[in-house]
Amino acid sequence: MSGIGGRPVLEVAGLHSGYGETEVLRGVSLHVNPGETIVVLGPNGHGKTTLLRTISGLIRATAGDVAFGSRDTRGLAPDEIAGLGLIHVPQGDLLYGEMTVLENLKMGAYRAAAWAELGERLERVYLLFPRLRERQKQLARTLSGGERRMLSVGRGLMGNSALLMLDEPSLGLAPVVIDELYDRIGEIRASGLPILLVEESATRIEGLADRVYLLENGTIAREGAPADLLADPALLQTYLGIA
Amino acid sequence: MSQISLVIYQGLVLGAIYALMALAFTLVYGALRFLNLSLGALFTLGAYVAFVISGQLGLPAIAGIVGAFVLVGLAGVGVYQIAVRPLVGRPGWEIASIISTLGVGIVIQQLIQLVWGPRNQAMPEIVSGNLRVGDVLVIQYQRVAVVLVSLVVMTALWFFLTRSRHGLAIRAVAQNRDAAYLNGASVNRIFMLVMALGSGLAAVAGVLLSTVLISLNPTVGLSYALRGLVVTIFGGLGSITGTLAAAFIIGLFEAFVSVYLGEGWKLPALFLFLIVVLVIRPGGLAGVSAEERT
Amino acid sequence: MSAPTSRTSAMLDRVLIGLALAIAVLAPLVLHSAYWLRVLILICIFAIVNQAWNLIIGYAGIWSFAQLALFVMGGYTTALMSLNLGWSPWLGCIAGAVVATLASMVIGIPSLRLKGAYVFLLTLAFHEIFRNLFILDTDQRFGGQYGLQRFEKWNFGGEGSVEKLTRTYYVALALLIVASLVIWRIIHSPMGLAFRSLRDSEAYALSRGVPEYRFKLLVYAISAFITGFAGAFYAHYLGSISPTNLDFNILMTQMAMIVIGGWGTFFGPILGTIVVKLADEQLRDFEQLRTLIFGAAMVATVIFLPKGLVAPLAALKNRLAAAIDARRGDADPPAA
Repeated sequence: MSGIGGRPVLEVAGLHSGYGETEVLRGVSLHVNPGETIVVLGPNGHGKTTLLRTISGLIRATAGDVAFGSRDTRGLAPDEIAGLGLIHVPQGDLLYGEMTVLENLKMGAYRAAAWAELGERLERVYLLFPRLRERQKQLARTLSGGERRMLSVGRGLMGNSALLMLDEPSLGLAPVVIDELYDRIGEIRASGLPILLVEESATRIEGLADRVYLLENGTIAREGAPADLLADPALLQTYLGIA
Repeated sequence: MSQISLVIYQGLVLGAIYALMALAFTLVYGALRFLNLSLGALFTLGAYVAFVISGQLGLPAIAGIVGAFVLVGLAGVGVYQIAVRPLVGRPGWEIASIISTLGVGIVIQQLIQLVWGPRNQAMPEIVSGNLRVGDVLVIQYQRVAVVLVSLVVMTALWFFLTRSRHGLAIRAVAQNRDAAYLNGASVNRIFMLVMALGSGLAAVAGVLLSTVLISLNPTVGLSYALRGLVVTIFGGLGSITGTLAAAFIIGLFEAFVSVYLGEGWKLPALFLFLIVVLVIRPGGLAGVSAEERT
Repeated sequence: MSAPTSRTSAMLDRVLIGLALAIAVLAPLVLHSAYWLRVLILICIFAIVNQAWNLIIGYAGIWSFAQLALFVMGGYTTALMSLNLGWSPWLGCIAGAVVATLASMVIGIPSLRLKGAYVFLLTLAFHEIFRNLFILDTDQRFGGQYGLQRFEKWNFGGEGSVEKLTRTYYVALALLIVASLVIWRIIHSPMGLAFRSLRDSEAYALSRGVPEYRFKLLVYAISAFITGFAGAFYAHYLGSISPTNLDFNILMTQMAMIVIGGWGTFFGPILGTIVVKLADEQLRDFEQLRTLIFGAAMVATVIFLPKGLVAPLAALKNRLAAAIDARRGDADPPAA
């Protein structure tokens, strides 16, 4: 099912990173194969966001390798990494509040290659999130939480994406909205785009994830198929809150 | 009645010039979060470039304006590379960049003085002739042209910022730098573009002002940079619409004071006005949120 | 700001300060001419102004550019008191200091709650308005462009101009030392500490509940008091005060002094004043180039030596201290 397509899309090896003196990641290794959806589970503050920010270049790695396709992305600026097709939908959305929904989406297609197909890309995102079309003239800061998340994901999809990284898409949303959003993420997955998703809760990963990594204290504690991990009662308690 | 029309006429002309100057400050502040104090000297440099192109080479006024925009825009990129870029992200960089751009401004102003001398030079008119309206108001076509040029530049800027790819990116960088990075925008190149655009706008403001004053000298930029700053802060740092409103309000206010109280009261009145505004509305016209101010 | 200093380093500090004081005290014996004494006196006065400026701009994070305006305000106050009411110079100095302090509150109360950029603008505007006030002073209340002259000059006794100037120099030096001690105390008080933590990490200091606004007002007032006093002293030294003291070039030279010396450091402003003033004297014949050079030097310092000329000197001192420690370490048996 997965990993048939040869070399991984993304390969992270022995990654160390952090903020100033504080080291958050202490040797993280993982990979994403073509077409795969990978979920990294981990409690808050154990380095999930730092992992994505380091991969996308917003934080400099102190050691380790990141290879995206055939490119070594270490030392590249975040805009260059994005230009390679590694799209990071950040935690907290980071929308441009004083710009309209349409303008936010257009910014997603900032790179020349994506901008050239602006119309088609916009149509595709609107098809996935029809609500954004309704709201396209509105300022981003006037959107509801769920709409903001859709815009954030939609903006990511506007780019020339070869891998989509999603940072806790469920964060702060009502359960109904999360369900809808995860349906959309399922659709994105079905289109064949590889996804690297980090979450705190394991509730919605069954049926979505091809493989799961557990990130604890800045290192990968376990790796496996979702079914295996969900069969472990100790893990269930940590990540599903089931006593 | 006729006095009022005089105030409106003068206020609009001043407002049109201040708007360009203040937009220069606002664009740069919005994207980079610092006050680019070299803009005063670049304003003057713009006037001299136009003076050479239109006054000495005898080319049409429009060539002078475009030339000033382009050449001073390039100078702005130079200022960025030399005095701003090495400081970006350093602790205390806001005050450090104020000082370094102020230093570069001094160097530019002194170079202008070395090249063109300290004395006043006569600036050619864009258009001659005037129209008498009533018994007080004499509308000079020259000044009408100034307002029109300013409006054209502002409209072009508006389209650039809302329609073009790089224009959008300028606003994006101003609102969320990390997000702009993740969308693939080279923040460094956007900064360069903003510095070029801001410097070009200041240059055009300089050209327009010197055609109104019909003269120019190396120190003209200083007091107009100060006014540009007053407008920028009154408008709410970084807000483009606030800045435009503030430019015309302050232009009218200044015209009002000089018509009714006399020239000497302009700056003191402006200062008092600004203090009152800041006490009542600390975020300026655009009313930036509380955490933005601190 | 400074790393935990060893005992050797502290001892070196004391030796160096003592040496500097000795040089300052003995300087008139070597530079025994009216020209050099005038230079020395101006260095003392400007060093006071720069110390006071550095206190607010380098430590308290108040981007005030009204420094020269406050300085000149002290001068005009004492000149008016002297000319109109016959006040003595020292009384005038106090009056000048008080007026400058009040002016600083007029600027500070509305602006110090706001972002640095607002303070910068309001103070620069204040400077410009103040200058215009004198230039446009049509009824000559303040002497217009020429300012006020022919009021009492300092007289500390002595025969001949060199002797007189020497005495004035020692008074100016004493004032510089007093002002520096006051500023040293402020920087090393709990308030000064709070400011430094605020400067280095705003989030941290705010979380510790530093009442920024009141502290800022207080420091601004103290700085203005010292500045106004220095301005009045300066006026009585020259026997005149005029709006040319507010020229933009002079403001820039002053700025260059604290930047080149090292703003946000205690000795930087003094060092900067000495270096720039001496350079200024050397460049007297190149009026045009002088401002250009200071502007360029300012940019270069901000970029390459953010802590100014003081930084390499401090590094040198630390190396010396380490060398002394190392030699001692050889002599003494290791403790562990």
